[in-house]
Amino acid sequence: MNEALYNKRILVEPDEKFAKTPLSQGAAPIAVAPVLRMVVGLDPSPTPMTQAELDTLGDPFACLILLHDERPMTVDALLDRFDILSSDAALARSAVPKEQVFLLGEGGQIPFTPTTATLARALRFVVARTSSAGNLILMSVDDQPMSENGLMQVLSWDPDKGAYNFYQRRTGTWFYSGDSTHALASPTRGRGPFDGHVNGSLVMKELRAPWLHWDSQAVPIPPEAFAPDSPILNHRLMANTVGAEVLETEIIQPGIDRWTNARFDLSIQGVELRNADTFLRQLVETTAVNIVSSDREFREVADGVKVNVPSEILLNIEAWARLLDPLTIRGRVQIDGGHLLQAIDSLGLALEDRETGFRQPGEAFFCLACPSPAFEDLSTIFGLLDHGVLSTGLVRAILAVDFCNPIQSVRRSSLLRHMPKTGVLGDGPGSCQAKILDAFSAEAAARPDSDEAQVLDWLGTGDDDAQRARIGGEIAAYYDAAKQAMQTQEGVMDLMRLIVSRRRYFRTLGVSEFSMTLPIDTLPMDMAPVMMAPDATIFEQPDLIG
Amino acid sequence: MAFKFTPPGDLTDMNAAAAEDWHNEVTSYFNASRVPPPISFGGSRNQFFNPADGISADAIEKEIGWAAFPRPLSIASATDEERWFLAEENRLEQVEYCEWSTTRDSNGKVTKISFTCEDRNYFRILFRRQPDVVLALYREHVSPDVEMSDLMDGLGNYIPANRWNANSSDGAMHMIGQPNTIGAAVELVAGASVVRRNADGTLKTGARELILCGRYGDVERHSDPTIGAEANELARAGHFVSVANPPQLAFESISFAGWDVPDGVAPEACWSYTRGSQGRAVRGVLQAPEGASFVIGDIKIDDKEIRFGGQVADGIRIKVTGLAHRLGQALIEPEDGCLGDPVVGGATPTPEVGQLNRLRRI
Repeated sequence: MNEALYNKRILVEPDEKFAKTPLSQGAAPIAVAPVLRMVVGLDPSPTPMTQAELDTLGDPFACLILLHDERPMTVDALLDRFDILSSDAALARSAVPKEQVFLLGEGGQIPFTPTTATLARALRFVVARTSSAGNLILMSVDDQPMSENGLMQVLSWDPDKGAYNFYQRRTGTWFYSGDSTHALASPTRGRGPFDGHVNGSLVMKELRAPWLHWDSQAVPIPPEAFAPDSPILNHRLMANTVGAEVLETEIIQPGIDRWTNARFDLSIQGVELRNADTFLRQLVETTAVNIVSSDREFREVADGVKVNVPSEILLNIEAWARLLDPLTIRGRVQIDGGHLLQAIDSLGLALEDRETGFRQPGEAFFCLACPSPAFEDLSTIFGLLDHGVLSTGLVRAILAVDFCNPIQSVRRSSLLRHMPKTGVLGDGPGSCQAKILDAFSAEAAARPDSDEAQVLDWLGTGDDDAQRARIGGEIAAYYDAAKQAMQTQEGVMDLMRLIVSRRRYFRTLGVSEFSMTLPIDTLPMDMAPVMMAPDATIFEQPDLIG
Repeated sequence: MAFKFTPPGDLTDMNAAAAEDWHNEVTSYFNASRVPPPISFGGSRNQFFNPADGISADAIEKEIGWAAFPRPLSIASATDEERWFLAEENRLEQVEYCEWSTTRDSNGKVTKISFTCEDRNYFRILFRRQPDVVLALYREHVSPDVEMSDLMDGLGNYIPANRWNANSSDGAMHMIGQPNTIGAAVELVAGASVVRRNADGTLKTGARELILCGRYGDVERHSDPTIGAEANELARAGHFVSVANPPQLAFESISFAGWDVPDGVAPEACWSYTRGSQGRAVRGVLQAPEGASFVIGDIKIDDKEIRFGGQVADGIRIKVTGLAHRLGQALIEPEDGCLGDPVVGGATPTPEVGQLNRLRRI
């Protein structure tokens, strides 16, 4: 395992007040290792946390373990302590009795053979410890649970703060790496664990079916992916693995929404939204991505085999499902397997692990794996609507700018300069809505052909029904054009070049940690990024962000 | 020790005669599935057994679960809204061993959703011996207006897809979809008990590659590939595999993550299992508690009001319980071809049990 890589990442969620019971009475004082605080951007070096600092931690990991002077240094020891302490009536409010284990690995579908023995499969586990009351601790651990080294990171919801606390074990010490709020502003934004958890939330890159890289109901990671003599095969972690579909729906998605709601609660003072720009940037920028892929396994692809294109590659489909008439967009875009194989060959796609010399021509286990709009951005967008920050009409019109590029849109990103730092809720004077519209009006007056002018034009189209129908019509026309275009070899080649471009973008992100997360290509390194046009053809955009 | 198969969910509807019929019915599933299909590379199915013949002391059970919402609709639809709509439009699209019916008030608002994973053959057999019991079940769980004449044809035979159990709006007493039967689940485990090998000598392990090769079910569902993959993993470990008693489809769980129920009511208060025993429920109903000021259509899941049964089905998991015994004692005979592949010399193999796995793929 590459600890240097792993140390960037972490996961999790819960709620409620957690008990902070005193240390056991009468026990002889035992010197315990300090917990070191290392919030990158704030702390120049690791610093032992004082008891007063520890007392500010209200999450169940802190309450059950750290505040009880427990310093388990292996996954096994930590899980054992969770088992024991969760049955202690005195700690009931912090208890996490339920354990669910999820397995993933970029090489999880590559059988262990003598020739693949050295491959860095990155097999690891996410362990969720929960209670019916909503407590949650999420751990990201490797396949060496008895070791005091390697990956062991903990994310735990702190109901007192309304944020996740981030911890990790490194070199025999527990570190506190900050909380979700540190992700939102400099000097800590994008640093330490927040280069991956960019908005301070939970991360499950492959959030949607078929959950590429995860053990799931779409495809299991079989025991044969591990070395035959691996002790993990008979370990408790392997005994009760649960499919990624459960992690998505029961833990990650609600956990992201929990942080989103807490952020609004923390930032809304009376009728004013403070730090509004930190929310609004998630409307216009690509702050994070999830990876989607086709339901079709690459090994099934052949001439005449239809391959579904994930709609998220073409559109911010989950946003439009809420913002347009429900059945505006119907059916899947499908491509022919023969066209896909030819494009793969032309682009030189392959899974590659350069450290071990492993190279497997073709796509990942599932085809068309591609970065797409992140659920954490979507959660915030819907939060803007639900909290009355922006109207549905304005959100719809802003997202309609360059709608055929659901991520990496330079045009939508350029609207960020109009986003206010504060504003009252609703659409009255001083509201975020009014401030944005004022700024758009000024820009439109100066540049009648600007995107700001287009937004105002859409908003001027009669009532909400009329606006929805107009934008829906444009999007449906684009989707139909994509269906048609991708019946041809040229259209499929365009699609794959777009996907290659987005894969390259993904590799620039902090969340990209493993060489085999996505296939690489053999196009020139300086190939310009490509974007999609409303007629479902691609064009190069050399100045693309990221 | 040999035993008689018991009814799904430990149901107590059946009298002794009906229970005997049910045992015989289920026995026929296991006996039929013990025989490999009469084409090439069917595999011997030597690692599949009938538990009623006896189970060793080392037996282990393995719960195999999957999502209840039909995957074929998910992969064909662009949006959630589209797939929910399609699932409601045609009951026969509900192919994951779970079917439902949604009751709406005069304004179209959802008031009740009934989910079932019961086998039509159970009702067929029950009706043959105890038609009045079946009528009573319909009146209790579907509608008090059900008449005996609604349930049978002119010859007195039970009609599974009768007017009270034919669509997603007028009631769901038991499953009616062609593949949604216990016998199909038994066949899945039997078919998946055959270990299959790739050309490079590694064993097939993927859910889809196994079912595409063994052809024991529908590759595009959640359920069939999942059941097959789990059963095959037991077989690859050298176990003898089967389905635990009682052979059944049952509810594994329902998730209320993302639910927002009016008046602060807990989602659990709206959900009840109305048939089956603890851990073996075969019927679940979503309905507002008595005296509530709201109806089901007022509940939100992920900020969306419930307008379709499929929104709830997204959080439901169905299960079958696998069984293994004589752990590690099976002689694994990997098949080097897939069902129906041409064989050396092009001869069509004879369908003798135990012979097919000696044939080799070209």
